[in-house]
Amino acid sequence: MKHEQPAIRVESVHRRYRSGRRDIPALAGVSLTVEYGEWIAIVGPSGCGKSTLLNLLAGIDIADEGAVTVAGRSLTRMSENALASWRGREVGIVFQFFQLMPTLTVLENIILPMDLAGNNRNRSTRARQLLEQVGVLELAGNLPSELSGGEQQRVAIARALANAPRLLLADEPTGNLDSTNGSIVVDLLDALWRQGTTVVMVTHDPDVAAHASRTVTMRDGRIIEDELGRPRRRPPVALAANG
Amino acid sequence: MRTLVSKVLRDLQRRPLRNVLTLLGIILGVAGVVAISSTARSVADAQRLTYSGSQQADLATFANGMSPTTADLIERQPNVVAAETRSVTFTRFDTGSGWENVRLVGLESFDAMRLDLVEVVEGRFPQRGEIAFDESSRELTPVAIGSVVAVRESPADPLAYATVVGFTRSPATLGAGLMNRATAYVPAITVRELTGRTSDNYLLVRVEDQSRASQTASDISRLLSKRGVSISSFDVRDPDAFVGSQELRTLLLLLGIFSWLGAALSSVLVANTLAAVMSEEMAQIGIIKSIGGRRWQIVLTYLIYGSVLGAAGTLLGWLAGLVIGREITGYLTRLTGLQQPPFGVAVREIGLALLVGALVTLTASLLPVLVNANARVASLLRSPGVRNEFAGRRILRVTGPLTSVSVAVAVGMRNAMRRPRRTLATILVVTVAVAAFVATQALSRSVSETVDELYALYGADGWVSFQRPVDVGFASVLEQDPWITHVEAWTSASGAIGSTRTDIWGMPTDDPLYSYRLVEGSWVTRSNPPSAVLTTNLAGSIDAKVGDWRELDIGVSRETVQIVGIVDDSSTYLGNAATGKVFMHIDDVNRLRSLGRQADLFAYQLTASDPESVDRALAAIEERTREYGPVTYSSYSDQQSSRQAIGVLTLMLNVMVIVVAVVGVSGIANTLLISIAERRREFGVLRAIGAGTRHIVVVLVSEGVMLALLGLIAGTLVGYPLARVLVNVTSAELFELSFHLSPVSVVATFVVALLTVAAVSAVPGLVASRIRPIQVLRYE
Repeated sequence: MKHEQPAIRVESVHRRYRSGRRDIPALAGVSLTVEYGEWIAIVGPSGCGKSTLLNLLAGIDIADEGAVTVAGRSLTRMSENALASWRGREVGIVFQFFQLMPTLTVLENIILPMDLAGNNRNRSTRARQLLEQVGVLELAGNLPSELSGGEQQRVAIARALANAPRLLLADEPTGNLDSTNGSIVVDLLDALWRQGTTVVMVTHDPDVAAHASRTVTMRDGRIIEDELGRPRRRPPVALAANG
Repeated sequence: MRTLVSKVLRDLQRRPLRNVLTLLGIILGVAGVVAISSTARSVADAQRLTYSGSQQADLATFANGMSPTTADLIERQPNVVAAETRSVTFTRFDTGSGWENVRLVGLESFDAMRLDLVEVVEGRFPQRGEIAFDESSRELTPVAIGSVVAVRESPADPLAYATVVGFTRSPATLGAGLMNRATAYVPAITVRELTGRTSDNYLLVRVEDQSRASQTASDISRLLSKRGVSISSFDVRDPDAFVGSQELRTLLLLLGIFSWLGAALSSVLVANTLAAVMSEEMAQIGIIKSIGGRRWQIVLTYLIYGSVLGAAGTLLGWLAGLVIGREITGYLTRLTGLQQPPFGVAVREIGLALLVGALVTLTASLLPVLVNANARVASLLRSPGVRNEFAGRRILRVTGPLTSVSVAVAVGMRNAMRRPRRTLATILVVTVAVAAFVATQALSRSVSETVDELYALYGADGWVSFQRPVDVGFASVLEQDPWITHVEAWTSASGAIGSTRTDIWGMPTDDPLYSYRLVEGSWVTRSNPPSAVLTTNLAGSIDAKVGDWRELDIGVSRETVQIVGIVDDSSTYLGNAATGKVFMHIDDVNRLRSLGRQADLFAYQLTASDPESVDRALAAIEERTREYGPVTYSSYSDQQSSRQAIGVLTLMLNVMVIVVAVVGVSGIANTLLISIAERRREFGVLRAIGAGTRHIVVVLVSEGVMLALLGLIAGTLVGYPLARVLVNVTSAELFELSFHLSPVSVVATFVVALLTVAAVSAVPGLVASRIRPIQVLRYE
């Protein structure tokens, strides 16, 4: 699969937050380009702006200055509703604290993004396939509160893949897990990347970052280092879209 | 402590929408109770104010053949304080927008008026060629000072014109809008010219000792009879009642029930909101405790929070209640011809406002505050404010199939069940609101249907009464009229059994114009000693049974009668203060009234019963019988008046139901807003994974509809017995009602309530859709 444009293009982005009477710069002129098929790990100390950058890429935050283009769409001028709709189709997000809907079963949590995006065909079959892929199919009828942290995060990854996004954004996906469950999650991300999914992951764990094909290090709202890790691999087969 | 107080006061600004809803709950509860209490007080004051200076006549009757000295003669009789005569006729007038009924009262001199004093509220009393209307006449037709009205005695008569020069307030006169008839005042000469009479025909008497009023009426009747003055029976005023007092009392009783219902609902609403606020504050209470805050300091701090809302709500609710009470009083006093009393503030209403507003708010705050203040610091600090768990397996199963249609709908419906206690409180509020609505619908329909049933007893399309009794054979003369198919001579009189005042009706044994519904015994026959049939309400009031003997005081005479039957007939006319009816054979009543073979009332059945035909026939009858001083009544007009009176009752009840419904809908809106506040993160995540505004609105609308649906089902079940209670209470106060509840109105309530809730729930949905994912995920 050949792409004319990069998966992500971030140009001279600034983002400030107001704290009391002061403006705190979270990002100060960040530029970054991510090609399709890359697995980027964004690392750095707390407060360096890595999660802010990820939020900008997901369109859940808007830059004060600069341009953010993801999958060919400029996110800077889109409305909240348009962003939500775009996210549902194009991006899968994995949160540190899983953020599953507590009143929906595991299976229903996977169906939810498909429901929101209006994908009504074979939803249940696809949801089960995804659960099988992340190894928790037997938990399909359970509520999130009945699952361990690792199981919840695997369900969260399956949910992120529900609409077969080309881009997976993960914010500290192992941050709330023990080492065993952390490894399982990293292996899952690795498998997805090998299948062709572009992965952008924020982490403060060097061992997790080591799995990525490229590591971007941030400090004080700037990228201070951008190095390639493992050789970049082209996926042999793209992940099946929409079941 | 000062710091804590500052914190609480700042916290009040943090939740503007929730605080406004809490305030609204307190205001509605307080305002309802204060409004009804102040209305009841003001109506009592209005009654006192109106009647204290109006010199109400205790006895009143139409009389034929009175001379200018009749009043002086009567004033010399024992127990008589004052007597006065007037010229009265029932006719029609036109202001240019159609003919309307009017009771035209002529006075020799308005300055010399001593009884039933009429007060000018605008303009002045009329002179020759002028007319003054009771102020309520404006409800019937547009009439203004300076306008010219046409008056005619009958359609065949030439028109007389009069200029409107004033508006009056007439105590003891129900509003024109209610009676479907205006009251107007003119010089006596105008009435005499219209009617062709040479003297006054209406006698008013004020007595010294009310308990001897009936005896005095008998004495006056005998005296006038000897002087050749024929009179119909005296109306004896009940000193404890005024026209419309029974209806007003019922209305205030029902409004009182609803206002307390509203107050109870408001309390639940307030408690619900404050409990939610307290659960949000758990972590902060933990912090205060961890840095040395003592239990009493925490309790006091959060009680101040509740007190500020309570005080503001009480004050605003009290003020709103006084204003609403003033408006209701104005409306009711206009209807009943009472003078609106000056605006006043009563300690009782302040006490009620404090009781409903402040006490409820403090009590609602106290329980959650105490629970949190006693909790351990560690558990408070761990509390996220809302539990994430959801263990409703049964609900999961029930709503599971919905996910194939819309997962968002399932999320909303399951969210509704996440806080069982709050859900229960909200459903309770909706239940009571729906039950109140259903009950009011049932009451309204029961009253309306009962009126129809009561009028179905009477086959007559109308009645004509004569101020001068005529021979019963006059019925056959009337029957020659082409409009009339059948006429029966009846007679009516006021009387009393013991201290209970009642109406006495004399009619033939086989009267096709009255379809009696016998409950016990047999119908009236001519007998000696006379037999009587009582209505169920009169029999109940005097504790009489078939076979009993009772003394009947008919004014001019007393006689012991045997009760031979009891019938079901609660029909009454507006302003009638008498209890039930006594039916006797016409000959027996005439004998007691010394009327011989004469009658002063004829019931007639017409060829057509539509209002236009009835009015035409009525005018023709008046024209033909004008020498006897006819006053005609139509069945349709009486029925219309009754419906209008019921309209007032149902209108006021519906207003209260709307208040209750507003509280119910506010309860749902409040719960949804609390739901948003507690689940901001979930809504943020939904947005993050692709939910648009529409999806968020669907989640909230589903939650609201789920709550409403459960409340509606419970409310309909509770509504039925409540409707029974309400109809029974009204039956006891007003007249016997048959119970009617329309399934269509129940279904309509269901549909309208669900649509309303769906529409109202969309607002919190839009609020939730404004949550940006970054606001809730940034500090993850």
